Amino acid sequence: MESKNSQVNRRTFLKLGLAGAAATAIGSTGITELAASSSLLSPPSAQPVYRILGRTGLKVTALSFGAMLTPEHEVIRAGLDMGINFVDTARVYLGGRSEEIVGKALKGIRDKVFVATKTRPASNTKEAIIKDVEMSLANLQIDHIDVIQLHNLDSPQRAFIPEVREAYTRLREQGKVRFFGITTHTNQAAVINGLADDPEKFFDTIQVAYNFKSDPAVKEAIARASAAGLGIIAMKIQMGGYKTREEAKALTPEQAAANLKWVLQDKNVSNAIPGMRTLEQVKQMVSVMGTKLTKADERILLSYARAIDPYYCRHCGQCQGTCPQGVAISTINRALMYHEGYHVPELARETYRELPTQALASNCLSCSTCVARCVRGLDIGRKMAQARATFA
Amino acid sequence: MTQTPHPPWLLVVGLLFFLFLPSQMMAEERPMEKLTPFPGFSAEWVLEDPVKTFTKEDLFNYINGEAELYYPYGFERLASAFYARKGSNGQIGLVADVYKMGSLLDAFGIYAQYRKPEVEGVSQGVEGFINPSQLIFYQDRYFIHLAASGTSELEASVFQACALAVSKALPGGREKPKELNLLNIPTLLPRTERYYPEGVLGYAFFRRGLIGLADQGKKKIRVFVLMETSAESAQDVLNQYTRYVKQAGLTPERTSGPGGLQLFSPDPLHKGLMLSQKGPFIVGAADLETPAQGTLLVGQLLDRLP
Repeated sequence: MESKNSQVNRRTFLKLGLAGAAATAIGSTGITELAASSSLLSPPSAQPVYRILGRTGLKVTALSFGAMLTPEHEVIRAGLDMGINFVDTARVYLGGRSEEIVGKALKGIRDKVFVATKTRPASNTKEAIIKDVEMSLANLQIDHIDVIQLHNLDSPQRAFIPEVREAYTRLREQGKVRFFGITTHTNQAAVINGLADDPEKFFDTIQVAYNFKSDPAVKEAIARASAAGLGIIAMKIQMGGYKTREEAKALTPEQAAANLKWVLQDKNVSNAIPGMRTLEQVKQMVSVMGTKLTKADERILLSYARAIDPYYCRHCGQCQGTCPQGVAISTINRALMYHEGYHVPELARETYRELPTQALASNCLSCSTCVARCVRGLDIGRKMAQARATFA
Repeated sequence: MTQTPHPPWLLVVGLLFFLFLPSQMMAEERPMEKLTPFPGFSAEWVLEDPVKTFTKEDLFNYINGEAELYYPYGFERLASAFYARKGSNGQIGLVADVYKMGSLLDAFGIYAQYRKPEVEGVSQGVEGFINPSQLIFYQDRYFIHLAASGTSELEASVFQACALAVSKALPGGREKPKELNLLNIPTLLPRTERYYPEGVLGYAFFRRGLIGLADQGKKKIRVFVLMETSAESAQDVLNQYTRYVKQAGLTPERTSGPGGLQLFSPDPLHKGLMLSQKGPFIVGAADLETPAQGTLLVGQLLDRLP
């Protein structure tokens, strides 16, 4: 399932060898060649690691490129030159610009890279799907898409709409797409299991939000789907599922590396597609490929989890109604999170002010034994005291 | 105890303050839910469900991974309204999304991520564009995305009517972010400016700046302005870049140009790069094949700096 191949990384090695010799003088010609020979495009001792993308049979790099957030095609190209051979984008990202950016990055190396994109979530008719794919092909400036994906399923039903399947089949007959996939962000376990149970085995891949804080049900569903022959593409590996930009920002390179290793140590995952905006991020992620999750990484993951757990309320709402005074615990925790975690006091106060007077933290009586309960063990009494002090 | 009446001058000052209070401050108090037209934007188009709002915490639930794009631009809240066309049984709709971003520059920045140079402009907001499936514009610190739902196309007049109604509810006028003036050199191609709050040109050490395309005949050259907080931090950025290219085995050169010292180097990602610092700003040009291609552009950019 997994292999290393030093030959494919030939471009990298060639560049390494040339860089020193080329760095002599800057003349009026040869700038492009000189720049392209830079050793900085080569991550240290990185070799691509490949896995098979389920029943597609495609041999994809375990680290693949999530291109949605990358504004510079040169950054994507640098990743591809480092050996990444799978890039994922979508028709809707940046209103089509993301596909154009990917298209520029593919110039001259299309045959070395697998391209995945998505039809728009609203496109459920044959006509709309076919139009989407044609638009994607034009944006990407390629003649076929390797994996076309139904975007953002929150239940398996959409994957079973006959018209959708007809459109996808038609596109494959026309040679415009090769394999079919879906993506899911919510209700993931149900979606994945639904696809795994499909007797027609119509879809080949599932793109799923997956990280070390994922629900065990998702992990189990991934294992089932993988066993059923579906390729598993992991997204949001850097805690995108945590929904807080600030946490992602606070990620150290070690934490980011540990997150990737954690996802890839699950052999049911075919590849991971972290979003990478800068050359530094690409190099860092590429250098992780093929390395194992260590005890030190596990400690990093646990300390990260511990660091966010005390203040991170998941707003499941199960605490609501457990306070006899009617304090709006969940909303107040959210306001606190804006204040402490996001450092946006205006938003925090705005959120707090929107509460009815009787639901404010000032109504918390600081009962000696707080009867309100958080299923994740947050100290609600302490949080309400914090809110009183913060928003007084 | 009798209450002392307010002196008349205080009332006058108060009235003047209220009258000349920036419209932005007045409208800031308006809840997000009230920024989308109610009960509709025409007799044919009515609000179908209550307006939904999203915060940093749950924006993912609405736009999935694309939420990551919005956070560096200071995203605060989103109000999303669904308008159904009468008689369509809720099948044909228009989704009006109003995003509150960190600032006018941030709103421009996220808007420009979606804009292509060849788009058809609209008159709503500071700037906007329309195509058969969407109308997008920005105004003040708000970014507005109107999209067809249940159909791939809607009449332009429908989008325009909704955009007009949303625009009226928003604060702000038609002023562009003043920072865009920094890029406004004679050869700048229209609608090519973008603002990046991080990772300009794909380099983490280029922390924040503007990029545009300059027309050089057959060739388009990227020009940019990096905005630092002090001359010292700008110098630090230059030093980081110099170290970076040297690590790549490349040799940067210092040359003198119209505005003073310029740094020119082959660049691992962008062919040749020319940079020049003035105070907290670094201006530059990328994609250069020869230093001569960048000299004039960098000089013009330096002239734009305060």
